[in-house]
Amino acid sequence: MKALIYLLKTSIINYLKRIKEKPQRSIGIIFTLIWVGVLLLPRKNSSKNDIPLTVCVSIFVILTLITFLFSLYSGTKKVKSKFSMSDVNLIFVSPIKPQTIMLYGIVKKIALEFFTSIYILLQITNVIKNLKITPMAQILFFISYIIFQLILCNCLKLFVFALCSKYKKVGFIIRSFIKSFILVLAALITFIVVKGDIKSFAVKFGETLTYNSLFKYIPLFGWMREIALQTITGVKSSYFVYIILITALSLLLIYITYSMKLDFYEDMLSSAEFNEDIKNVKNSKISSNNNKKGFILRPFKFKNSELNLKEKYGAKVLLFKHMDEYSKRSFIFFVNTYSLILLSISIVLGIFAKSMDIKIIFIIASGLLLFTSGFGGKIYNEIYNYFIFLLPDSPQKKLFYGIASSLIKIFSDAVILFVPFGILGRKSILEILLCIICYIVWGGMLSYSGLLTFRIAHALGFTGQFATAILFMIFQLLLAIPMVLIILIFTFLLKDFAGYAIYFAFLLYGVAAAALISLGCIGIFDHMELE
Amino acid sequence: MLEVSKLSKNYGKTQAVKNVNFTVNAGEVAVLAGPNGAGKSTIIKSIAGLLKYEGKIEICGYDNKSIKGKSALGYIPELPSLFPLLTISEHLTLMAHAFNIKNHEKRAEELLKLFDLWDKKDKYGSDLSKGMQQKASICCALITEPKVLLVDEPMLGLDPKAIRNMKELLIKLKNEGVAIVVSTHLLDSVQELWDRILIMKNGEFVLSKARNEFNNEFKSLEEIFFEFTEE
Repeated sequence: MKALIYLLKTSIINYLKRIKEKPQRSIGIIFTLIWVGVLLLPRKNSSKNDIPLTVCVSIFVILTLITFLFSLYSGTKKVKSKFSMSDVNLIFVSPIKPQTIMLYGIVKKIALEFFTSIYILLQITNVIKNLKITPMAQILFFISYIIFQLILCNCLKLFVFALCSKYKKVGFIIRSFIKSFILVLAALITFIVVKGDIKSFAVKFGETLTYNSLFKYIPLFGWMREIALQTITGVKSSYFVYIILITALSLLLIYITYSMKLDFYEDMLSSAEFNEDIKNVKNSKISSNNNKKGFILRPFKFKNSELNLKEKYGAKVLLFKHMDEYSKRSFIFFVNTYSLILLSISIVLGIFAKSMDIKIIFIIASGLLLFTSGFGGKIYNEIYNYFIFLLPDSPQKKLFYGIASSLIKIFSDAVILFVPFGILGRKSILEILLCIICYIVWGGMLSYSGLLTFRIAHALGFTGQFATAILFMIFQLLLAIPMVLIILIFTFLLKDFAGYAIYFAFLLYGVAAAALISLGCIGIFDHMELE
Repeated sequence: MLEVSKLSKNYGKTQAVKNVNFTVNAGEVAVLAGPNGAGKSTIIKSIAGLLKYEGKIEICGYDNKSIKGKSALGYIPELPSLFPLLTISEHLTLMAHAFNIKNHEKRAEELLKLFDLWDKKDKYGSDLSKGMQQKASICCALITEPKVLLVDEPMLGLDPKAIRNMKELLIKLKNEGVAIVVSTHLLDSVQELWDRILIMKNGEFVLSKARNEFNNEFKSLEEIFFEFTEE
């Protein structure tokens, strides 16, 4: 235990020391604090529609139930631990009780999940702001939520995991129970909907959940109901009893799990390896696309497709290599899952929103491209490998062929997005073509700007993926501002062609910016250090 | 010192290790060799207590997963992985605490100087090169004064001086009575050290023989390996 306490204590102290030595490392924290600060800024209470008490409490209880069932279910599968390979190699092999290491793992998980929970907590703030809840009650509610979500649910997952490790059938029983429960619930809801009185049922159900006096005696759900109710109506002394009860339940689960003789190291190995890969990707030691396990969701295994480089030499091989990679992970040509999503959107809008101006789709798609095209291109995998640096060809050609496949992909997606909608909505052919061309130009410009951002970020010492991503977002937004100004200017100047001003603006700005930015990107191939 | 009896390990339907038995006595160096996928890493990880398995593994008479068993074991993994927020010296302090080693500072200094890490002792785990991480990993295993040492590819990533130091250290530990299991593809690197050869293929031992059982026939480890693994 002493060793683990030493490890945790020293890690925290050294983390703070590191930030002092290299202030760039604090960019993530600063960004998070700014974001939290913005979320906490006082807002004008929209008093027109106060949320009814029964709705709030019912939703909260249902969410508690969903979270509980989810924790039960995920405990029957492999628990996603926060152990790293250094824990495996140094701590797992040490003469420390596995149960103690298990506790260390829970503490680590809770600490790391705490920050992701803040976002959910702050959304709750937005909701309860409308209910005029006292600051004290808000704080108590946060504490209750943290104890339930972070501590109890993680303890429950671990307890179920331990049970399933010891008794093989338990996992099957729990999963079957949950699936049956969902089926029965779905059948019941369908029956009520068919009967036609869903609204009155929902109201009655909400009132029962909120006001039924016996409900509070149901362990956990009843306690959480009381916590939600008292947060809104007024905190009583029993509030603290419920918090203690939830904490006690967590401790009981921990104690039972601790008492079980567990041999869980092997089950933690795969998540430790995964966490190690995530850490290496974050620190840019490997590219996420290089990882053999694959971080990018793919619906199927790689297709068998042979790389054909006949008569292709120099930097040109990059283009054909990328095309082969796209084809291996796509259904056909460059059409992958993302393309199918775009196709569905295009067809749905074409059927149900025919009258929508195609420009709106173009603007939204371009806005999305602002964030997706930057690091989505194949060139970002290449700059983590030696290959492109050793390739004996000019940097201009490397840049051109390196990005060319991204342009083809963007073209393919543009056709899939704009053509079906254009046909179904009977838009002018000229406008459809302009959308496609401008989308490609815009995507090309963003690909170059993403590469330039990468170079600038590394030059400034921001080597982590998170820091680079933040810089990238800021840079892309800055790029978008002149575009907006140019659109306004063109709309004003081209009175007769005001409808096409946006396209001219995109074309002019995109081509000019891409040309300028690409000059800054050429130096990226001089050496791998990027400083 | 290290006794492995009827060790079997399945990954799903695949039997990675099939009913393996061997003993490594105090002061012996056993070399575990075999083609890729033979099951060497599975055996090493099973002995280190990282995997569930069938059979029995005892370290100095204690179950390998017991506290006493683990106290006697040192493990040098193939791929070093250090805590990014701990310095090299803090790693050694951590291991000393974990293994209840008192007054480890002198031993830590000796090890760090031996592997040219003394001037880098305040460097964080995340700032070390692969070779330095490997050396630090070795120091972490040795600070605990193990009775049984598991070494997975010990020379990988080391500079020539460190390789020489590593060999000398293994000989020294052997002479001090430590039972050592070395898993390696670089058979030449352990030619002077070995006392027992364990060659694996498809999860089984195709050869388990002590050096003195070779009846004065001089064969290099490489020759022995190819003799028993080539079809």
